[in-house]
Amino acid sequence: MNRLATELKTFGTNLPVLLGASEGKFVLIREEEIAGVFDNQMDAVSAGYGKFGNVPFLVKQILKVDMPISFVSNLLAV
Amino acid sequence: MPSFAVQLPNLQALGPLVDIRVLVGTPVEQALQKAGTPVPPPVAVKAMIDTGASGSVIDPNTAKQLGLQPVGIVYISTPSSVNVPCPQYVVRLLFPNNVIIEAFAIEAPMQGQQIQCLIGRDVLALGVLVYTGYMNQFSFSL
Repeated sequence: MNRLATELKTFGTNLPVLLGASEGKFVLIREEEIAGVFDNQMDAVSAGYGKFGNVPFLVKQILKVDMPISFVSNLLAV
Repeated sequence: MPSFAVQLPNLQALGPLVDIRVLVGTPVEQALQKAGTPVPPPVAVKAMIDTGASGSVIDPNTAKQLGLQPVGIVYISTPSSVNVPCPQYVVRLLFPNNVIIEAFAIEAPMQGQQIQCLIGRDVLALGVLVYTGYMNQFSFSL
C-alpha cells in the first residue's frame, strides 16, 4: 500500500503536536504539507479539493490510536 | 421523506440486494468542473445492505471507472484479516427513487462477482431500514 505513504509519514511525524492542539479533529495533509485542521471530515475533504483539486490527499482524524473498521460478514476478499 | 423499497424473489437466500449507481462525490465533481475536466458518468453496481459492515465499500473496478483519488486510508478487520489498509473516497450513492446519499466509501475487493458495493452502517445511521422478511421486501427511508 504505497498510496498516501508520504502523507501518512507526515501525519505520524506531526502526531504529537497535533494531539496536543487538536485531538479528535481532522487534519488535511498533502505530501509533506499540513494544510489545515477541521472540525469534521467532510469540511476537511471539501477544503482539500478546493485547495489541491482532484489529486490524492489525506484527511485523518487526530487520535492516539487508530481503531480498525470492522466487517463481521465474509463478503470482503481481504 | 425520501425512501425506496425493494422486492426480491427470495430475500432470505439473496440478502438485501439493491441496484444502485455510484457517482463521484460533490466536492470531487466541483473540483473537476473547476479544472474543466469531464465528470465520469455514474457506475451501475449491485449493492448489498450489510448491517455487519461498519462502513460502506466499493470494489476496485468501480473506483477505477470513476477515476477516484483517495482522501484517506482506513484500516479494516474482517473474519480472516486484521488491520488491512484500504483507500477511502468520497462518493454519492444513488438509490432507487432518487434517494441520494453522500458517503465515504472504502475500496476493497468483494468475494465473487455478484456484488460490487456494500452499504454499511455509516449509511444506515442516516435513516430507517425496515426488513420485512415474510414479504421478501425491505425499505430504507432517510
